[in-house]
Amino acid sequence: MRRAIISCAFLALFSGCTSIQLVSKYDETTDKEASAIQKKLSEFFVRQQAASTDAERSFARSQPFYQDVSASLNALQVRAGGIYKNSLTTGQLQLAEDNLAYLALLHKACITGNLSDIQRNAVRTQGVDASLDCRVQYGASADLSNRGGQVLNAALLPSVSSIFDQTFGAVIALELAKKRGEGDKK
Amino acid sequence: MSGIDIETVAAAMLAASKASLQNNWPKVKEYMTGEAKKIALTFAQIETLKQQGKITEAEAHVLFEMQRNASRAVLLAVQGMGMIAVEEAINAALGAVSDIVNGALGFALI
Repeated sequence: MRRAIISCAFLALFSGCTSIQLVSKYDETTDKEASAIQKKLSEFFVRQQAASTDAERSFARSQPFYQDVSASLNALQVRAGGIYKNSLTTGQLQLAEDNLAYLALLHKACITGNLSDIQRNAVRTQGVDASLDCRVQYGASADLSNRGGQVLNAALLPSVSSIFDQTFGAVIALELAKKRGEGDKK
Repeated sequence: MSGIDIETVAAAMLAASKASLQNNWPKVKEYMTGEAKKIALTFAQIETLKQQGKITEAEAHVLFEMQRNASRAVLLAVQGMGMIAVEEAINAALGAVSDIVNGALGFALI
């Protein structure tokens, strides 16, 4: 510890910098956008729970939600990727996008067995499939068309909702930590 | 540089960094403790749903994958909080000796 601190002192002396930065600075847009996306997800889960017919719960009815949240997440990822020393947040947003892709696959009942590494890679590289079909290239177990009538198993809702709370809660928690003690001054 | 007592500077920096870390680590620990409980609860929920036959095996596999991703996101937050704590400790250490160093040099370097 002592050696590390002395090294840092000399690093500062020779580089001429007055402080070091290991993690990006607080970004208000990331904080607000992550909160906004989380709100959309919460509203979606409430609508799913309150729905009284399969038509209301169907993927076809929810398609605009997937398109909207997917676009918002992509835009936020692009913004986060352009911020200096922000790899932790971009990693978190990638995980959030993966989970949205899995939610869409669950909703369309596109997964029929154990997830393979090929499927995981497809989800990671292709992102959310907001189409009405199941497509192997997006991580589905098989290519199937016209899946708009599929409904999300209601038993999944509490767990899935909790998972997204944790994911976006982590994004927001890290962003708030980047304020670096500003909250303690209030 | 001869006016700078390395032992004094190092001791001041060590004291400042320790104080900063002690202020920050409890917040990280508190966050991780709360999140670990949520993660464990969700894993238990998934297992129960599967055992009760309310979800299929395929759905359970996807839920586990999603929970793993959420857990990774939490760990990234903890990693970031830890790095910020270290960053603040180092900057506190530098700040603690700025007067000594700047005074010895005769100009404001740090």
